[in-house]
Amino acid sequence: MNPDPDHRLLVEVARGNKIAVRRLLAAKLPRIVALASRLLGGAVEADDIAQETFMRVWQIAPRWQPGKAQFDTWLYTVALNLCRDRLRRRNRLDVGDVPDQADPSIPVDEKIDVERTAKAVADALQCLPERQREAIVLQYYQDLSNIEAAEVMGVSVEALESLLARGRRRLRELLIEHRS
Amino acid sequence: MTSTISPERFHQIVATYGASPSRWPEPERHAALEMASSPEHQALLAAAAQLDDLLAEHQVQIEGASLIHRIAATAPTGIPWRRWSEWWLPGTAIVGTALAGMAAGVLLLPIAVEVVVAPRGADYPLVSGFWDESDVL
Repeated sequence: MNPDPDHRLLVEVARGNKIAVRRLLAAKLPRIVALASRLLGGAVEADDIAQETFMRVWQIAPRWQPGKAQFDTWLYTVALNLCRDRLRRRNRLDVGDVPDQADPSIPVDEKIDVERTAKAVADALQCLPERQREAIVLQYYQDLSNIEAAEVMGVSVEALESLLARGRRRLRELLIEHRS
Repeated sequence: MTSTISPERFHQIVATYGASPSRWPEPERHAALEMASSPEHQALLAAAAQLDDLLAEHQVQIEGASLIHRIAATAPTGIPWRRWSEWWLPGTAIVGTALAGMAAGVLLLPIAVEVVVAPRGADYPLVSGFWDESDVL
């Protein structure tokens, strides 16, 4: 395994080095917020997930042992599991940020409004089954390799590929083939 | 590194990972790139690129600075700040005198230094300037 580039930063974080804390947050926070926002479909919950994720980072920093796993993989796994917990609670309570009437279709008007397109994509992501959405977000948006994404999700690469292919097929149906 | 892949596998790669070679599995990327140059695969790649472009329109706006500050405030502080009250009697003003000696005769230069001690329980950092608020991320 390649040396973990984050190990040194974690050592300093554990020592209470505030500069290291800010550097770690600057490097990782935007991606964690983006991950949670796309999985949960909401910015407010994404901020909550980010805070909870980093609370765990502060707890693990003094005990982090390089060589067992890459810190990024561990970080994404924590954030993903927190998102899954949030979605499970949301499904039990039957509330949440999932759009009631998601309209992922994109108008065929040639002058496509970028904001409407972005919203259509966001809505389409929320229409995907949870596991397909996870696969798409991790592999496409977070730029994880197939091996990294599979590890974070706790599935084989073959299973990940199946989720990706089905997710992309569904997104194509929603965004391109079913235009209003 | 896979030297060749079947057309079926190439189709599967594009359907799974999209049109951008940077997202294709690294061991198969070279072989897939060779197949991608073939005219018969251009329509497949164009269709995948169309979806990729749409997905790329979805950008998440990060609120940024205040969230970083909020989360940073929960980070461990490392060595606890020492309490002045462990070192000084509370509410005591101390006058110190410094003596300077010279070769011929003794010249005393009394210098009075008054230190106002913080009341018991107050925390004062031993090191200042640790948190640089001007640090722009």
